Amino acid sequence: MMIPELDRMAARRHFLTQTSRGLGTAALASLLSPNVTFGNAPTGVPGSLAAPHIAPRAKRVIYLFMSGAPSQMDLFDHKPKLREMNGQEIPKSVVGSQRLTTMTREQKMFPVAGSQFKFTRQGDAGLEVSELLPYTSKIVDRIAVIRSMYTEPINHDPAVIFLQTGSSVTGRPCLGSWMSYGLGTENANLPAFVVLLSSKTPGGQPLLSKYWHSGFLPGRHQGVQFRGSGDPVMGLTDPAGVSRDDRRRIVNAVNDLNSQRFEVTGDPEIEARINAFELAFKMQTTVPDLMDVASEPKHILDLYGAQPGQASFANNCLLARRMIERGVRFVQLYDKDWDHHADLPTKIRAKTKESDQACAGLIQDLAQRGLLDDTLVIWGGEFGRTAYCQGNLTTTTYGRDHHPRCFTMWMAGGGIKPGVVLGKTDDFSYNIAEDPIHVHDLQATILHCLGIDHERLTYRFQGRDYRLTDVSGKVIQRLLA
Amino acid sequence: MKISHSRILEDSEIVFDKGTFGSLALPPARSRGHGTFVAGRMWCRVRCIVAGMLLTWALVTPGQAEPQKAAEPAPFTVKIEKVASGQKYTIGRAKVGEKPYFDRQYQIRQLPPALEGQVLVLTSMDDDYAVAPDQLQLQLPETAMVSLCLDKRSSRAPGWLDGWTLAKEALEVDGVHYHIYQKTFPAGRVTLGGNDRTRTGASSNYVVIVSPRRDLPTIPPDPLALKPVDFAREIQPLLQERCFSCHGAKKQEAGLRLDLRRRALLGGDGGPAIVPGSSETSELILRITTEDETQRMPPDDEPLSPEEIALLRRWINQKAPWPDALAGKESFDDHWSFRGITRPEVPKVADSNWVRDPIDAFVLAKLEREKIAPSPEADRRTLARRLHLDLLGLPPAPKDVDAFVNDQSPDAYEQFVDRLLASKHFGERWAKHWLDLATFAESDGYENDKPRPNAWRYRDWVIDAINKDLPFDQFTIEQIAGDLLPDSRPDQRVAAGLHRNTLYNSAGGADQEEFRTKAVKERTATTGVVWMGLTLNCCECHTHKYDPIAHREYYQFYAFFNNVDDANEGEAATFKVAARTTRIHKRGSFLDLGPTVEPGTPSFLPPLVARGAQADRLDLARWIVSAENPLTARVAANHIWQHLFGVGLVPTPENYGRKGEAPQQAELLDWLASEFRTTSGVAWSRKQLIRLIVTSATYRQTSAIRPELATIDPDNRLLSRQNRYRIEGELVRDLSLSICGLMDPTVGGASVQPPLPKGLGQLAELKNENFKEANGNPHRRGLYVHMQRTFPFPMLAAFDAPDGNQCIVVRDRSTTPMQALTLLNEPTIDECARVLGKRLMSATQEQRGRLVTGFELCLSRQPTDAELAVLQGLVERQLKSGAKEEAVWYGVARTLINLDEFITRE
Repeated sequence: MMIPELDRMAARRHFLTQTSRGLGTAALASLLSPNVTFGNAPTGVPGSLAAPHIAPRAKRVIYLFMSGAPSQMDLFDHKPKLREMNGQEIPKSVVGSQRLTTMTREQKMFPVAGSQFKFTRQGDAGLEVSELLPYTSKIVDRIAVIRSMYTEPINHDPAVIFLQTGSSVTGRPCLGSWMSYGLGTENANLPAFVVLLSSKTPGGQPLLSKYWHSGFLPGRHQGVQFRGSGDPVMGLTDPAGVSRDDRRRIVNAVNDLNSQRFEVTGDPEIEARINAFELAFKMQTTVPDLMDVASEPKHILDLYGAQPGQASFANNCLLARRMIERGVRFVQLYDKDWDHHADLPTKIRAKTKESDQACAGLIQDLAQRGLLDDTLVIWGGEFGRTAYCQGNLTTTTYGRDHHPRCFTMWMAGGGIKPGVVLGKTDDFSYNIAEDPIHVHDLQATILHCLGIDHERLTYRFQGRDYRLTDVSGKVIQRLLA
Repeated sequence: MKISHSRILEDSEIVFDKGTFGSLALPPARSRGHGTFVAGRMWCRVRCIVAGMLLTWALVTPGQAEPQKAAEPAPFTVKIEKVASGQKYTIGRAKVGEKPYFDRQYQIRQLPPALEGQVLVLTSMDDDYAVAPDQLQLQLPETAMVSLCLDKRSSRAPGWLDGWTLAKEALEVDGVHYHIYQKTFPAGRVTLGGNDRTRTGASSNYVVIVSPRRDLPTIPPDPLALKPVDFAREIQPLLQERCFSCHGAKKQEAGLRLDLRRRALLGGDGGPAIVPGSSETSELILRITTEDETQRMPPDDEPLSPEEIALLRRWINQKAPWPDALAGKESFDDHWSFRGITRPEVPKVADSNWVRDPIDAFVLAKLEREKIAPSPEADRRTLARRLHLDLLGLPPAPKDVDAFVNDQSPDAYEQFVDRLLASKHFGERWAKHWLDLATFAESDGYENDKPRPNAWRYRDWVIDAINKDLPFDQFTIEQIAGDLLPDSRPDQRVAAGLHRNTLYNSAGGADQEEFRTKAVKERTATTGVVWMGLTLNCCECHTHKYDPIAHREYYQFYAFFNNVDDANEGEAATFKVAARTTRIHKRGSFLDLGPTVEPGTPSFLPPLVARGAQADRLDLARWIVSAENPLTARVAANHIWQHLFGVGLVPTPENYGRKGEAPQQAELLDWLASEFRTTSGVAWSRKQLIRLIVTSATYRQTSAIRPELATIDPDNRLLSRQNRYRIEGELVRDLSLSICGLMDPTVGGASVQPPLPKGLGQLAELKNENFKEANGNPHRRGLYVHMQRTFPFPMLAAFDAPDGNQCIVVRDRSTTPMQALTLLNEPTIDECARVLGKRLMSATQEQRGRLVTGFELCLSRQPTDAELAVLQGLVERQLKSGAKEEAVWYGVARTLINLDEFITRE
């Protein structure tokens, strides 16, 4: 049966707005019409945005997740008192009734461990930054540092989940999925939400695919993991012997047959599939091109410390910029091995050496291209580390346990006031003295920068309207430009 | 309220406590002054009013109040009537050297002489967090004074001690000093509340000493106490005037609603407000009488008058009678899914020729009203494929399709259906639906994500139960409480492995109690959603906003599962049944515990009848499938419908509450539910219900979209056609394996790990390296692919298969480019394409014949000429480009596998 064009349009429009489990949200619409913007995004599906709630300052996000939790008092939160009291028992009044992990709960002594690293005042704000971060020191006036972050879970997995999804229970959508769901994608040839991982050494806290899962949001909002070496996306490379022309001929045949079936069934889902099929085919070209870091000029590679052909954090930062340029909405980087329970000075020195230049290089590169104005960059781990030493404290080394009560993060770019230093911890960087910022506040602020009221981006699942910030969260006005 | 020494006024009067006539506050024995405690201005007023009516017998001096201490007390017995925490308190004698707690070795070191030798109630130290408003009930044979000794280190005394007198002396138990609060009661029942959970500081449970007061004239019963309170005339108007503005129909501060009997007796988020029979411990009374103005109700308003308070007390002491006629009508009384299921009349229709069974009559009646004709019956090839996919999850073999098409017998269709229902693959297909609900997976989840090598036994139990058509009621009981059945068989204990599907965090540093309570919440929510379509998860933190489920009721439901401790992961479930009392988690936090609750079901549903004193999981399971339960049969019938039409009659099968979508075909659903539950055939037979649905004319319609109905019925709620939708990830895999002949048809057994895309294994972040390698026969059905919670099998995940972290009632059916890349290049599917290409080549030498064979294998139909032309074009172009023959047919196979129709059920 032939379907008149008008009916087809009606069916398609309806399809975009009516399907019960959220089919027809922004991202799918953008698959069907690549130039979708707020103005003509579909309406009527709860949670997907027809228009921004507030004027958006950022369009895209790059989140540099330091997995394992970097030590705040060795990087950004200078505590001379710790050096003074090095080796002495941390005062009971400071520790209070805070729960400790089972790893240090049984320790007999909790000696204070001062940072081995020198801090100097940097930038107009005079932020004290550790010698471990010579590159970041140079961009402190471009970033906003929050020294008073706190979270709830005390272990890695629930804490990562909490930062990503607003809940320590597995199964809720993560930040990138919420963005994809709410804002859709800017480029029909690439996914809206891409994930890049880096790790120099095997082991450490695992980076699980659930950290970029879409939870109960439709599966297309899931983060797509790109790899810096080998096949960048699962199934992207055709099997040996299949040429690009072979592939094109197959795509054409599939599309022809699918179109014929559409004429018979009138099912608009077939159109969506044809589009998805085309996107997959395009990705086979665009993704390898996107991943080709070698095409960058030497001074850019040097800015990041990137080396073509390597899978490294520096390369990932550069890739993130390339993705942002091509309209990827959310680029999630995870850098492993920041969990320094023992031998912290050596390990953190190595980790900062791998990452400091690239972080600063990314900010500078985005700025010189004008991309920093509407790209939000976030840096940080899942919690902080303890002022007291885990294991033996010697003159040369120490370790630090998990510490959810305070930690440092920084943000830069779209919507963020540069040069801000927010919050203060006590002399031990153990408790927050001023301006506590909860994870939900951070999430509310991120969404705010993107033009989203965190209380109004919701999705109904099993009878409840869920949102990223669960039932709390306040936008941190003082961070906003 | 706080009781402090400064509040103790020097006064020699006896004060009636809080306006009741039933109890007296007396100066403590041996007090230097007179030390009557007066609880603030309200009580001053009470005292004034009461003073005018003071009976002469009550005027006693402190000297007279002194109990006789030298004389050996005459036999005086106290009976323990109830301990809400369930502990076994005992009776002893208060003496130095005696133990005040039955569960500790601590001894009384110092004790006021007046209390020496008196009756001691040995409480449990472990009840320091027992908070029930009726924690301890004693029966006094005569007028007696209760001395309640409270650890001095505790920051605050519970509110129900308001009006008790604080003695000057203290009790000492091994170096810890206790305040002694005293109050005299007449003969009869005395209710003591629990501890105040909000207090801080080290503290123990209270110690109780009871001494007879034979020096006092017997307190006569309050002349008014027995006079029945008239609820309609005296109580309801009072509540309406003073309480409803915050606790009525419009607003329910703290979850408390006093205009409806059910809700009022249920209490608020913090626990019950009214404890029938015990005004002393009823939060409602405490809150209207407290001296603390920030706590007192009504806020920012004049306190209730002493007469009003006395009236409310009397009413509660009389067990809060509330006539049915005034119980109040709740909005959910009319909610469709909460009403009992009655079997609707089968409607009459004009075109009775179309009707094959009552389902069709219900559907057609509605269609005729809308003047819409049903869609024509689909052709037999489409029906053969539809039935195969729906019932077995596998494609029909071309020869079976041909045989069916050519079968002239009048019941060819029914015979075809019966053959499928008898297939061992039927259980596999329908087990998968159930496993989605059961949150089945084969690892712990969280970061360690340890494998559960025996989890497949539960999966196999489900397959087997469905294959042998275990009636749904039994299917339910064995899973919820198989371990509690008398003389339970091993297979029934395997069934109870349902409870073991919860996540478990074995990471170093994990707070076990946190994750244990999370698992219990998971079981609670899953049971609510799976069997009753109730969104209990909303009530974890507060009373449900839309449905009649209170915060407290959630934890009563939770209590059923709170004692399930997974002992070891063996072949059959062996649960340690832990004695664990359940407390409300305030705002859902396991660190902030509220009052104790007992296992129970939401009060808006028919009552549960327990076998013993306390209801257990077996009682719960039987209640779920009881004839009175209005939800279970509807929910179960709807699940079945959902898998035969792609969407349920209730389009929100996860929510039958007021925020869910009501079925347009409500009568049909009720008819199906009632048919399912009580049919002429086998009650609760899944196979019979499926047979009934798939043999209907409604099911057999074509699925083509009807553009003329795009505005009238865009979502096909009227069922004027079948639905067309993408198949699940497991089926994509099973179809690919079947059409090329690679599939291993073995049913059951340990799971397998098919090969992963190149490089992905190395990338997978797993502590257990085993899951990166292929293991077992790579050609088994998708159902048997190992389910590692943190590493869902990528091919299945690309097609929205659940990752086992949440109960999935409706699977997503997304359309993504990742699916296209998966269909083209996933290792197993690519292997299938290669084998299919060869199969086509060996089928015949002739090009057209090969293409037709491919169509028949993949789509169970023959291509149209236009379709054939597309494929012939592809073959020609490939050959022209110089491709080898094998590559050409591999390309054709890849094309067929990538067709929308291949992964669609029409």
